[in-house]
Amino acid sequence: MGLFDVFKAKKSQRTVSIEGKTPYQIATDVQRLIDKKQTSDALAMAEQGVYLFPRSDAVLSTYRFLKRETLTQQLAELRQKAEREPNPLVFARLADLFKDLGDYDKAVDYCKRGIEPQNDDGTCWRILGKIRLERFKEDFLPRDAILAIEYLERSFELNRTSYKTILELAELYSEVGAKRYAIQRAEAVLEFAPDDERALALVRKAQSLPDVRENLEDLVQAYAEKQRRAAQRRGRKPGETHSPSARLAKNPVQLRDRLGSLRALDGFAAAVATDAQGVVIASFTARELDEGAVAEAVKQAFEAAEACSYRMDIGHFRKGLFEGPSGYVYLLVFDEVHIAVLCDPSAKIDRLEEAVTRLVEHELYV
Amino acid sequence: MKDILERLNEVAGVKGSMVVTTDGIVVASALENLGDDLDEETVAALSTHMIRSGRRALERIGHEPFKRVILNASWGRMIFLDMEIAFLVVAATQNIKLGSILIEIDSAAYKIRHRRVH
Repeated sequence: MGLFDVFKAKKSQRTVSIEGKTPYQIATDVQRLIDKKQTSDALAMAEQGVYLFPRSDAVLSTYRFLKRETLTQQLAELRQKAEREPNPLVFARLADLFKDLGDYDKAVDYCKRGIEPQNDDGTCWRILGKIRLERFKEDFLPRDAILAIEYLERSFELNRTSYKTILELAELYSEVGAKRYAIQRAEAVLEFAPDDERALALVRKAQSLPDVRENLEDLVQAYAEKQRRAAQRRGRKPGETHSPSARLAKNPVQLRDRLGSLRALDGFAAAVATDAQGVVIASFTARELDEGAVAEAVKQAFEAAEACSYRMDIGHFRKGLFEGPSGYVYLLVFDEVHIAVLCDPSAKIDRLEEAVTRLVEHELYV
Repeated sequence: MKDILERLNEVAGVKGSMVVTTDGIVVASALENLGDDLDEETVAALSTHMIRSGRRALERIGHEPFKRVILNASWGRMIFLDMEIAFLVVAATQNIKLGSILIEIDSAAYKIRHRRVH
């Protein structure tokens, strides 16, 4: 199964529908199901939400909350065990669990504790690789996929008969279109399991890939872009041809109306939406402002925030708040639209946060 | 100062912290828990770039220099707090409520400033 096939397979078994709902509505419905103790339906709905809106904070946080609730008992038992008898196996299991919870910092910490220089069987490297893959699935940064490959290869070097690691590598290579690497790794499984159906299917799939000059970084780059666009398309409403951000970019009047929903905020001064290049798409101002200067300022602030996030290895910049004596500047990313909300010092931060969350998780999808 | 930063790093969700001037001079740092390729100079350079660019950006619209910046990315947060003499820069995880971290950051900044005066 490929990277996104697990989600696709689960899609066919779903009983709860989220069609036409905004991320905000999905998160609210999931919470309602949690309150009614319908945990499995809540989880199914949250999983669909994450698949459709991988960059929605509201959906992701409810999904992670649910996962944590379902794994709490297991987590507590393993932690106790790690305290009683610390060993690489327990650390690896804890790392795996935290990975499933989306708490990658803790997962990485446990992986580091589980890596033994003298007796490393590659399990923790495999989990580190999987963490990078999970990050890639939500953020589509090529660096994460490259590191996933690097860590999985390291795991393979340490344990050349790890079925899971080799298949994951072969699948990943196949997904990105690295034909030769995919065949090599799938054949590595066949060396110790000649009749393995998944490996045989992977060899066949890889052999059907086009022959291209295999620069892995270029292939990953192209694959990341393809996946990013596919994720944007998944966020479309039924019958729509554009992603929400593309729709808004093409409809400045509608976008201006959406930005105008913030005018009820205390201290609201202006909201400006630009494209990724800093060109103003729409703005809504409560008082006179030099739109060009605001756009330039917003562009500069976004560039700095994005560069900082990327270089600090914390993924894509999503939102930020500048606070000072002159007031607040709230920046947020909605796919390819950059939005800045300017408020006077009289604004209340929690209200601002709430209104901006509602804007980006609901209003912009409606 | 390093002790204050190390204590700050013990707060749940805080991964590393540093005091850096706007010229990029590192006054103190405790970054051991960040990734291997994130050394002191790199984080200082990134932070300085962020602070200077952010300030320049806000100047364009007539804003005075900011006192605090919070950046949220997919897998973590960065917080920059102006202490007048320098900036306190904190790297934090995404999974912890921001409010509790901000209180600890303010408290650490107060201690750092207090040390300098006396």
